[in-house]
Amino acid sequence: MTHDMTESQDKIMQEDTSWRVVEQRLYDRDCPDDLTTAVIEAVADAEDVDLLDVKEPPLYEIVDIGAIEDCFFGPNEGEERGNSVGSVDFEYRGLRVTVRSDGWVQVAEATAQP
Amino acid sequence: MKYTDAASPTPESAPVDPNVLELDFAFEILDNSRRRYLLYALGANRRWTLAVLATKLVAWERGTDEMDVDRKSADRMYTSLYHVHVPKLVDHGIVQFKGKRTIARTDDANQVFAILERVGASLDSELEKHASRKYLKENDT
Repeated sequence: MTHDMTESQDKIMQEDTSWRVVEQRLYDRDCPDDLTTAVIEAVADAEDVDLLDVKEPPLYEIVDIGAIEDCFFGPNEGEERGNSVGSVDFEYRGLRVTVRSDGWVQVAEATAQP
Repeated sequence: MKYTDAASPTPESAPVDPNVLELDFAFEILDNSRRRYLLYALGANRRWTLAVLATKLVAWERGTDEMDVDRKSADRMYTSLYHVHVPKLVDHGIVQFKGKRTIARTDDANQVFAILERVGASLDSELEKHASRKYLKENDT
């Protein structure tokens, strides 16, 4: 399934939208890949496309992913995890991405209202 | 999107007032080993393809040879560079996209390079050496 960010989809993204998690993975701070890669991989899997096909927009334009990483998972390699507990949601390519401080990255798609 | 507009300079990419380039910003840029690696590489060679940089960086982080880096790992690194680290450098006027897959350092980057040279070189010399090194038949253009 592909998700193009169209105006009509933009309008769906209102408060009353309900979301269904379609992809999730546990981000491991100790593995060499960073949170950016974990998020984009989860999005690529949710869209069923190749990792390198997820290019626009660059995540940098949507969210400060480095700040989320520092906040939840500690500022640098080798240091202890950040103390913050909680989760951050943002919308990317029409999907809702949730990063939780326990390391779960979830990608949800909007579902039609009954 | 500043980042894809790099080919057509806007007023924003006009010469930067040196006072704007304060230390805080430079250290923010340098506070990440992947970005430092990119800068060292760009110091040695003004222009690189992202795919080559991604492969080199995986090799550096794993302590293996570039030839031994599998495609999947290189793609994951490419993703990290493409989505965050390169846009950050572009945003700060240090790097420009030349086409979709190639980046080049700008002339505005000199201050960051000067700091990197003074602060980083002694601590980071292995990283610098690796980043500066060419591999296979990669050339300057």
